[in-house]
Amino acid sequence: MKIIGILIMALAVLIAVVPIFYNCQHDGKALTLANGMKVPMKCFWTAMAAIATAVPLFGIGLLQMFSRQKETRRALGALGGVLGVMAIALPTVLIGACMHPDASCNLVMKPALIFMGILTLGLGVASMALPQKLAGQPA
Amino acid sequence: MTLVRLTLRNLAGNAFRSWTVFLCALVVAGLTLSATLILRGAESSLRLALKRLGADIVVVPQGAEAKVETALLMGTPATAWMPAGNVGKLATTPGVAVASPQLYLASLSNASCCSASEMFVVALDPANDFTITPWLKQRLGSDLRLGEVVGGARVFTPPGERYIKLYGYHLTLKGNLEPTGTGLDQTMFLTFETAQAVAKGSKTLAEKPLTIPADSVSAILVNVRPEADPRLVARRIKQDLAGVSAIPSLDLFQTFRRQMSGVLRAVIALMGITWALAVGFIALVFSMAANERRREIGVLRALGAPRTYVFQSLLAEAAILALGGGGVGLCLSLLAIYLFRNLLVVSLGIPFLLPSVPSLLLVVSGGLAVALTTVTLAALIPVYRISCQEPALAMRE
Amino acid sequence: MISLQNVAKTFLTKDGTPVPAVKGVSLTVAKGEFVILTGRSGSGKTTLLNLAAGLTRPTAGEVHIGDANLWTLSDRDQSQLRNRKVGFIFQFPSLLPSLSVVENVLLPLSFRSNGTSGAAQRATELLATVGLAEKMGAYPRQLSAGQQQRVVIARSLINRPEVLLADEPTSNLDEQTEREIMGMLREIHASTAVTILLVTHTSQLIPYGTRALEMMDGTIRAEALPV
Repeated sequence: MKIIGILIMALAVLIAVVPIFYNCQHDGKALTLANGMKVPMKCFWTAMAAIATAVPLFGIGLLQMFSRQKETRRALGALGGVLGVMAIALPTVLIGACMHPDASCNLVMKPALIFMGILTLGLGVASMALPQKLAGQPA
Repeated sequence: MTLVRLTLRNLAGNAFRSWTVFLCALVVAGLTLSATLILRGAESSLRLALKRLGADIVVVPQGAEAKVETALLMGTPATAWMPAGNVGKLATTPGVAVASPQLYLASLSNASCCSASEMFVVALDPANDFTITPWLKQRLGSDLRLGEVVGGARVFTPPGERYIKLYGYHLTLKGNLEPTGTGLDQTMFLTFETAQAVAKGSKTLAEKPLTIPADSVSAILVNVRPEADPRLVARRIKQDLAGVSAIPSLDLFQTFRRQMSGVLRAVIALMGITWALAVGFIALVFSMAANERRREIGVLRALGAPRTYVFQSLLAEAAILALGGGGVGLCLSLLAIYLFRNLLVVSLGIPFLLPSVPSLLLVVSGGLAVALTTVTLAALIPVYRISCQEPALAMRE
Repeated sequence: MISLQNVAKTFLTKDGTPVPAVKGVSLTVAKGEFVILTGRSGSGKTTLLNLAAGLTRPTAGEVHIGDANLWTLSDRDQSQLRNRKVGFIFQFPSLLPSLSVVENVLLPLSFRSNGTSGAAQRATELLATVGLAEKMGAYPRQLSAGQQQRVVIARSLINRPEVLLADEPTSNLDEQTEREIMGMLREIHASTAVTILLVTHTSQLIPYGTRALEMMDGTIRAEALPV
């Protein structure tokens, strides 16, 4: 389980960090309201929500490293999979990103979150399905 | 206990060996697919762009070749001017069937009077245009009217609005062209009449006026007669018209083609190194695993397993790891290229279009075949040696 | 049942020096015999056993199991012969770690070209015979050395062999377990009349057999004396 745990923790870090550096707010762009106030665009809120997804995912990865029981591993895998789905849903259906296809949130943040979400989901499924021995645990 | 079941048990029994070979196959397959997709994607993109242009020869002001190519390929706006009288001269050049002028314009950068920043805008003469107009007639059943535009695949009306603003002028998007993976996807097409109307209106509506020099055009697209050779006609145009460059479409995008062949060489070198390293590493891992299992294999032989059984069993392990790792590598690679295709275009500066499904299936099969060949080739020698070893020798300390 | 005619086996060291392990040995083990072959380490007894089983090619001489001249057969036919007629009990732990106890017992049947009906029941019976019926689903690492050797005995009998070849089967076991294993072999010999050739470095096992031989310096020197 160590390898899967480490990979999940690494993905959690990336899910938290990548959107911070690739959203329009970071590029100095913001929405100007009618009253002249500047507010962040929705890609910024996607980035914030990604952090909220990444923190529990990191914890799951840490627990995976030390879990020995098959049932614990499966439960953690399922939870990890759900958070992977969240990472995919954030920039697509839940909050979203900007309209302009060349904005950094569309070029990097959105595809990165989807990609890492799919990897996380895959690792979650793998930790539920793999035999103990291939998962690095004695049978 | 069938061969397959025993093979799967053996794979599970040596996690380190299995994961190592799996990852090598994943990397080899993923890299092969990525490189092939990027190169083929760029090539098919260029082909589509040329098809979209529809011209046998592109005539541009001398010195403006590179920036016009960049504009067409990457959508980076370019302006270039030559006398409009060239159109008439070209039309009478022997071998020329049609000569259609175009104006190359650009929207302002970060201006509220323009919906899109720094967008490449191409104005056409509907009287003799053969690039967009036939498509318009087929798709929309009519030509473009004043104030109407056609966009490349990635041009859209801003959400919540009814018009695209260009220098404060309101334009109606009538339709979008099929994607080409090039800058033509981010280009807006309108008529000369609309362009002049925008320029006139920009004096009062825009932050900065749009200036179209009088009696000037940016480029002339030429179709030659069926019996004429485009290269010869291009040469004649250069001789007859001063201050212009006549580029046969076959020679268009030469800069990018040279860049692509440079990229191709680098990719082939990288793939070659990766493949050699993977083969070496897998051979080493299999050699170590075979040595570790020497005694076990000796026991199998003693129990009645012929040499061929041992050989097939070990190669089956290699094949399963290759197909598993290769399959995952291909999926990840395809997913990454699909998700990051726009970033690829922007960061590598090359056009890119995902291939059609049949073409993709072919490439994926190729990638899987490469992974399978790599792993089984690497495992062949250690597997052959261990299966031929005398059982008594294999079982010795 | 087993006949070795003037067999010799010479190994080559790394620098090419020939080392004769077995020198011109002729030995016949008749059907139903339980032969104990003793000798010190390096006397060539394991090599002789390997020659008898066809696990190593003799430098000279012929090896027969039943009517078959081993080294005139193809690898496939030789393997089939070994699978059908010969059972092995090795000195070292020879169970496959990735297979369970019952799967290890059934393993020789995987190499048979013909059908294996009733195999599961036979495996269960054999494990009951060796006293390990409750360990069918266990894995080798969960068993003691003595228990593993009992599984090996069960495996060696799954194909109803005519010959059992045992290479120091008790050398890694304590005295009590050794007595249990040897007692089991004696019972099997008595009940099935299988021909057994057992190699050991200790003459304490001689009483379990019907005939004892001593090997020294690559030759069979004499009938071994009982302890």
